[in-house]
Amino acid sequence: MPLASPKNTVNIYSIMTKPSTNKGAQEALQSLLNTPHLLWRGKDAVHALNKQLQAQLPSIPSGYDSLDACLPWRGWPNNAIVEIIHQHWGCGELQLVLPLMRQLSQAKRWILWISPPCLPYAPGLVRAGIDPAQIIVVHDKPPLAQLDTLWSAEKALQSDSSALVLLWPSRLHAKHLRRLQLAASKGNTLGIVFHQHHIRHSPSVLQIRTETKEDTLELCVLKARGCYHTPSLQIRLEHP
Amino acid sequence: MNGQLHQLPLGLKPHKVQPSQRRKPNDKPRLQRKNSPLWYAVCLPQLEAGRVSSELNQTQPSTQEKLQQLAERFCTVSSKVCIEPPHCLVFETRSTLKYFGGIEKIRSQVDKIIRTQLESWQLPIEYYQAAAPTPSASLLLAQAGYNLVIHQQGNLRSALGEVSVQTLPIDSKKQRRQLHNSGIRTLRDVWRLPKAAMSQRFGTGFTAQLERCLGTIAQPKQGYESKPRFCSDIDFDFAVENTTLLQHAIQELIDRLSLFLQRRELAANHLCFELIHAQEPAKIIDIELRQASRSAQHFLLLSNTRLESLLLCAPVQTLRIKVERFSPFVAQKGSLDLLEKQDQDNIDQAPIAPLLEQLQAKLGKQSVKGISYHREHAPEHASGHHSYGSICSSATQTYNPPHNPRPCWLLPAPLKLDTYQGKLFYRSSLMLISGPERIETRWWSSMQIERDYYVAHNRAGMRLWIFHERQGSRNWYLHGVFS
Repeated sequence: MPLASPKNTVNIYSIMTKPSTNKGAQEALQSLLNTPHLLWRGKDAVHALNKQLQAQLPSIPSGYDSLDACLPWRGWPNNAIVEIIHQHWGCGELQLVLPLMRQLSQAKRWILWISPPCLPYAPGLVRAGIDPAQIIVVHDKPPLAQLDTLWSAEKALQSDSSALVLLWPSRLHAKHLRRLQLAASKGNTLGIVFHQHHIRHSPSVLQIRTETKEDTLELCVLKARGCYHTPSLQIRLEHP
Repeated sequence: MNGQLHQLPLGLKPHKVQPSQRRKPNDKPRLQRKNSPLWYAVCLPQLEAGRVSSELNQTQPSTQEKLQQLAERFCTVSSKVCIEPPHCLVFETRSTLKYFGGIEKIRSQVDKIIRTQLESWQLPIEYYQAAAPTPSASLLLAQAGYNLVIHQQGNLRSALGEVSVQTLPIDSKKQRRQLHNSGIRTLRDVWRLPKAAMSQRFGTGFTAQLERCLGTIAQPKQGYESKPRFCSDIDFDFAVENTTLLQHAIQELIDRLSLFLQRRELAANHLCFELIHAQEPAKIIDIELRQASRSAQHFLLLSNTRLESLLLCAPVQTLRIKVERFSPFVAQKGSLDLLEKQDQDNIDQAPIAPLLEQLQAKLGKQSVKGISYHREHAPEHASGHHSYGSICSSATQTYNPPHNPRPCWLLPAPLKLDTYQGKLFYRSSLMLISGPERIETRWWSSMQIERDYYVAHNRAGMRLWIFHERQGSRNWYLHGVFS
C-alpha cells in the first residue's frame, strides 16, 4: 500500500486538529489531494482517480489486451523492474515479452539480454518479427559470475541508450532487486527479470507468475504497484 | 666549415648590404621585401656524428627520429617545417615574422627549442642557422656555417659568393674534383662564368641547383606532417601497489591526452596503458573504442572499469599511456528541439557504444555480442554471433523470415535425447507436434547435414526443436527451444 510521506502526514495532522481558513494549510491539502499515488483515499476516490492516474503513468503496451487491462499502467511500466517467475526456462515465458521486443526493435531501440540461459537464435527472432540487429547479448562461457551479471544489468538499466533489459540471474535477493529498481528508474529503462523463485517483500513494481498448460500460459499477477487485487488470466501461446 | 666558424656566437648578423640598398628607418617597406619569402635553416652536424654512438645506445632515438622531434617542436614557430636529411631542418618564417615580432625573436625561440632538445639527448650544443629567401640558399649558408639573415632576393648572389663550392650537395666525386681542377673554389667563381658553359660542362642539374638557390627557379617544398602520436608517462616516487592510487595517475594522463586531442582536433581510437614494473615484464592494457572519442569522462570510466578487475602482479614503477591510432574529431550532431521536433525519438536515445565499451572493459571482449541473421540452410550457420565491433551498423536490413518454425533459442551443440520406454525423453516424455522438415546441406564439406526436424513438446510445456539423423547412428537430438 502506498504511504504518505512523513512531511505530508504532518500537514494532514495539523489540518485535522486545527480546522482553520489558513491559506497555506489549504494549499498543502490541495497539493496532497493532487498527488493520488501518495495518498490512499478509499474505494470511490480510487475509481475516480484511476483514469487520471493511468494517464500519468508512462507505459508500453504489452501486446496482450487482457494483460494490459488488468495492469494499472495499461501495459508494461516504463521505468521499472518486472519479475517474471516461471517453472523452467523455455516454457513460454519469453512469449510474454515478444510483442514488446517486436515493437522496440522496429523503433530501433536497443534490447540487452544479460546472461540468458542459451544464445538467442536469429531465424526464430526474425520469424517473431524482431530485428536481431537491435539485440545485444551479454554472456560468457563459462557463465558470468553472479556479481558480474548484476553489475552489467545495473549499468545497462542506468544507461539511457537501452530501452529494455532482459535479465536471467542465477540467484536473486530483494536487495539486488532494489538496486536494479533504482537503476531502472534512473535510466528510464524497463528491466524484466526471469527467475524461478518467489522473493518475499520484493521491491519490484510488478511480479507475475507464469505456468504453462498445454497451449495457454496462465498468468498470476502477484503484485502490481497501485493495484490491490491479484488478477489471474490466461494467454494463448502462439505456437508453430 | 673551418674551426673558427664553430666558435661563432649564435646571434644572426645581418648581411651587409650596399649603402644605396640599405633602408632608412622611416622608409616605407618595399613591396618586394614584404612579399619575398624567408626560409630559416638549422644545421645540426652532431646529429650525424652521433649516429654511431646512438645506435649503440638503445635508449637514444635515431637521427631521423630526432629530426622529426625537432620538426615537431618547430611547428610552434612555423606552419611549414621541412626535414632536410641528413642533419638539417628548414622552415618558412615570413608568415610568422610579424606575429613573433622580428627575426631575433624567432631566433631566440629556435635557440631555446634546440638547446632543450640537445640537452635531453645529451649532445654538444652546437648548431648553425641562417635565413634567406630561398630554402636552398638558407640551407647552404647554414651548412657552410654562416649565421646570416638575408631578407632580399637580390642580395643572395653576393651573400652566397663566399660559400665554398664543396658545401654544395654534389654527389659525384668526379664532379667535385672537376670543379676543383677548374679553379672554382667559391660560388663567386661560379657567378663569374657564363651559365650556358657551366651547364654544358657540369650538367644542367648543377646549374639548376644554383638557380634554385638564387630563387630564379621555383623550389616547391613539402612541409613535414607529423603523424599524430601520443605518449605520456608518470614515474611514481614510490612503487604503487594498489589500483586506487593508479586511478589518480590515470586521471592525470587522460587529462593530458584530452588536451592533446583538443589541440589537434582528433579523437582517439584506442587507449593503451602500460604498467611498468621493476622486474616483471610490463603489463599492457589495451582498451579499444568502438567509436573514436575524445571525452575524458568516457576514457576515465572505461579505464577505471578495467582497473577494477585488474590484479597487480607487482608494484608499478611507471604508468604510461600510448595512443597511436586517431581519427579526425567529428562533433556530435545535436539539434535544437524547437527546430526538429520530428527527430525527438532519435535525440532522446543516447548512443549505445559507451555502455557496450564499459561492459567490455569489465567482462572482456568476448562477452558482449551482437546477433546476425544469415540466409543459410544449415541451422547452425543461420545465426551468427559477432563480437561488438560490428554492432551498431546503422544500415537497415530487411529480413525474409523463414517459412518453417524456428526456435528463439538454439543450444550451443545438439543434445542427444534419451529414449525411455520407447519414447523420446527430455525432462519428461516428448510428443511430436509437427514435422518433419527435411534439411540436407553441406554435402560438399565434412560437416554434412541430413536431418529431419520436428517440433515436440514435453509435459512441462516446453516446445522443443528436435531432429532425427538420417545417416550414421540415426540418433535423436534436441537442437532448440521455442520461446
